[in-house]
Amino acid sequence: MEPILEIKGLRKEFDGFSLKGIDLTLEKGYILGFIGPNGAGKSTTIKLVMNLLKKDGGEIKIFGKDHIKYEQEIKNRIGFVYDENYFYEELTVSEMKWIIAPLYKTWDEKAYQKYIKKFELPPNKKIKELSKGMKMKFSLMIALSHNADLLIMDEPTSGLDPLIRSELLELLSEIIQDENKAIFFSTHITSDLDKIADYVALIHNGELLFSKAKDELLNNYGLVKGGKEILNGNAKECFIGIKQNQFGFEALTKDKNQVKRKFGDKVLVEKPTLEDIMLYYTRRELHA
Amino acid sequence: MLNLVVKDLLIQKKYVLFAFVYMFILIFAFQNMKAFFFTSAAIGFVYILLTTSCAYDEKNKADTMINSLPVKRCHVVTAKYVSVYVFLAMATLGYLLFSVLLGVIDFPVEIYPLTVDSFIAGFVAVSIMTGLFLPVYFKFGFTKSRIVNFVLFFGFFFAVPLIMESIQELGVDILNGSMTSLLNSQYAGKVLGGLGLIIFMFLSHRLSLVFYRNREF
Repeated sequence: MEPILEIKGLRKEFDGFSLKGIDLTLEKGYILGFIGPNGAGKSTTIKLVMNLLKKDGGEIKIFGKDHIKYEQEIKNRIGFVYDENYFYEELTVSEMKWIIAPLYKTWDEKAYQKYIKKFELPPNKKIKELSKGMKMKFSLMIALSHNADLLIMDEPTSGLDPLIRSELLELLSEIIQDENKAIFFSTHITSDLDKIADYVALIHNGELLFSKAKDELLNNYGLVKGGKEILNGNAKECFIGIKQNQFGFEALTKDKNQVKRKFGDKVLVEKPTLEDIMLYYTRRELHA
Repeated sequence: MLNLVVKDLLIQKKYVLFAFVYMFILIFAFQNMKAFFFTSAAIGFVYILLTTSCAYDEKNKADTMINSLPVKRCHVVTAKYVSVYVFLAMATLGYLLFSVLLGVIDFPVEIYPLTVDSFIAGFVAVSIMTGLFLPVYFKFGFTKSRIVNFVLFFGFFFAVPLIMESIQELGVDILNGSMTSLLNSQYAGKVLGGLGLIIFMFLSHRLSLVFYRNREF
């Protein structure tokens, strides 16, 4: 089975920042959470996938096809939700839909009408008069009204209140029940992914640090706490990042079983959150 | 592509109204422009609507949205060129309407009727103005290109009617003096001019397309 999204060796150079050979794969029926701190390269990667930026190297295939050669065909099957509103604020919801709908070959007016009721969006209200949450819902509604097989979301929950975020995550869980669809979800709010992601990829300084199944990450990784005396010798090699304070240390390990075997009762091993993992990876040596 | 042209009108509904009001006021304010009054009015009308549509595109960062849709970049470029001629058609209809209305109510101002010459002058001036501006716009975006647009507008708004009237006067002399067979033949002149304009607009469009295809958002 062909992956819905396949990125190989993706490179892009800017002054002071570069994307260093990103490799990513997303299969049908899954949600890939793309995490990383601000400025890590998440939006750059998404813009390269959408051909809003020109790549300097590498390969991007969507639905098994080159993303530039088959750009129109591919974009007919992609729904996008970005971190800010890019629709014309001067237009009403209906006017904006009226301009966009004919551009999609597979526009589904019934689905649009269903979502406009579900999201309680006022069709005659100008987009600039909508709240941030409503604007995001409008983006999502457009993305869902043309039967997109791949949803590309760049920080869609940023700036949203917890209620709207929760609604969005529930909706994404519903969408992914259709096993022919996939969602590429970039965020720095990792708690969003705790609930819905199947795979997690971490990017930092333009470099992909890992791309793994979420369950594998949460089951194998461990948050280790213990006294400073343990850090003598080669113990540090067991850890990805270490945070020290006057009472002891806290660190992240890739293999909690190995740490348990090595240190036994001298350490306490807890299950990390995705935020812990991101934090320790991106700030290798931490001092409290 | 047609949707993108309609979009250029929808996003600036208020400015479309303003452009018509501007044209109406212009009829009173520029009584000295005589036969080529329409030319200036059309240049101003198109300038207002083209500038506003480009400004709104930039303000809303619309290129990011439009280029995420299944739209070819050549359609985005072509739509902007088509919009210019839609604006010109609106200016022409508006001017005709105002001329007729003011004539019917016998308003005490000089109304210069829309002539073929003044329409052609307007068409040529608007084409050259936008043909020079749009490649710069598609290369640099609106903020960096607006000064170019502003200079072009003022140049064309004031210079074209003066040049046209001079040419008209000169043309009469030339015709009377039978200087050259080419210039004597109005038909040949118009064909050559028309061909030159088509080539100019084609090159402008190609240049815009090359620039826009290489733009990053």
